[in-house]
Amino acid sequence: MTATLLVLGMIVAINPFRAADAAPEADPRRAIGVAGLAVLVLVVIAGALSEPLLSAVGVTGASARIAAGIAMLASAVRDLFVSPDPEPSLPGWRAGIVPLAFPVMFAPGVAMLAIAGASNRGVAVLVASTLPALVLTALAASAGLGRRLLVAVGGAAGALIATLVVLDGVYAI
Amino acid sequence: MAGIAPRLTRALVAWVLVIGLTALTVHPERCGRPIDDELATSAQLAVDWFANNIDPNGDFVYRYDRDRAVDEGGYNDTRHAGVLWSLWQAERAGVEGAGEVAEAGFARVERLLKDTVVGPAMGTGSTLGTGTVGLLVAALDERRITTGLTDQDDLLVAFGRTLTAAVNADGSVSAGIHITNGPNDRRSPFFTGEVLWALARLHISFPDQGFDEPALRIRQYLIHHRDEVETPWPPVSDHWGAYAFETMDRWPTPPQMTDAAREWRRRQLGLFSLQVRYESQRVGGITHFTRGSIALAAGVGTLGEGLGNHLLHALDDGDLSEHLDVLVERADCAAHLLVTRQIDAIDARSDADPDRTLGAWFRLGDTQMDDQQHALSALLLLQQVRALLDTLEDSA
Repeated sequence: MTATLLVLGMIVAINPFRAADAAPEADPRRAIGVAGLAVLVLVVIAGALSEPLLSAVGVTGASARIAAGIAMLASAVRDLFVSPDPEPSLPGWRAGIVPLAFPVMFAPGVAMLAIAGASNRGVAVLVASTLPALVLTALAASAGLGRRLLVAVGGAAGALIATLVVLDGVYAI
Repeated sequence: MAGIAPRLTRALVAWVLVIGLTALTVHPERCGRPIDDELATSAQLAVDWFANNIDPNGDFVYRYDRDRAVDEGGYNDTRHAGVLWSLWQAERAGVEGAGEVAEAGFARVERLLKDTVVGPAMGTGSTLGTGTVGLLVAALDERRITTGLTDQDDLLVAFGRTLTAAVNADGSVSAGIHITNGPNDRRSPFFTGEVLWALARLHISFPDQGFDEPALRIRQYLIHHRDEVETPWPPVSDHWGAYAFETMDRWPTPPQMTDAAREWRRRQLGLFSLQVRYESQRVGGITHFTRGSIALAAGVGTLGEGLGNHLLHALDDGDLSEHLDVLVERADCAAHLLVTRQIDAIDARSDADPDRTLGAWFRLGDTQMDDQQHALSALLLLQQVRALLDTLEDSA
């Protein structure tokens, strides 16, 4: 898996437009900042657990990428076809935890991509690959780009990239 | 705060569903690493199966049904030639009795040798397979190397001329040769690699005969056009091409590994690797429904052959150094599947005719002689890879 695919994978798995849609109207920047930090911590934890986890279940890194692609595809299809409902939210900056970090941004596809990405490229590359997605999410939220059409576009891109991640696992040595 | 608990519950359910979906599609891989003695014992049992299942005419039992204890008949001369190759490979590796059985099996070749307009070939009917000739070349050349005997040199060179005539201007290979009309327009997914490998071997044994030129032409075609022209989808995992690449790397002046050649090899390794991973997930239970029943041992064997040959080649080539551990693991896994699925003495004891089953591999109650052939070759190649790795480690 190339670093480029990992970066693109993280962007579409998080889908900045969907995150922007779920951001609170009051002080979205703060909430997004908290969410970004929380997601980064969760990604690092998932990445650090990658090797022991995959060894325990007897799955190779290549098969983990197939799994990540499938999980990403599930989220992408939802974003493509289902309009996001208004998200119930914790008050103030804690909206960055619920719903932004979980369940909106740290979805199963992100978790599995973190596991597969760390197994293939290491935790440092994984973290570096996650940052662009978080920056784009912040930009999308600031610009108020959480619109239905854009969420669907993110879903379409997600479906494409998820397929590439599956193929990357399929053809991996 | 209202509605948070139900939302989180819905999210957790979604996680469980997605994880369940992936668990249904991505299964654990049950791999292992057979020890050297297990590889040797398994190879010996396979050779013993051939020894126990050859008739005085040099024909092997082609297909056998274990459940009904019935010889199901049929025959395939390309596979006969392949068996002779594997047996000479085993003889060279020191497996007891392999050469003797191979010599006995040559009786069928002598009986079915025919002259075509472009040279000798072997088989029944009026159109003879180029792949059969290719694998006969591999077998006879291996015999020549192993025994030092040169009594078949004229036949080897003549076979080389036959094969050269079957190589077209674009490097594609005719699958058949009609006795009077010569090479036909048909193609085979495996004969191209078999003919390439044969010509590559002949160039080492008979360097002045010009077999390198048609071999290089096929190689170019294989790398650049074959899949696109002949089988756009699904791509062919070409274990014979792997043999050819490994052999050409031993030419006095090996062909350059261009970027395209490296890409072809990498893609091939991806295909072999994927299939090993997939096969290792077939452990019964739910995988019977999601992965199907186990593959033919012939199929698993070809995966080991492809990986083994590319590994032998790659150990000499920095291109794949970052993947060597994984590749060895995959080759070990293929061998593990073969060793654990072979019929041993305890399994065979309860069979109606243990000579037909001991040392064989069965799928859905049937074995075919090429199951033993490809499995045997894969096990021997892994032994060779391990020996080379040990040598490299010692010298390092």
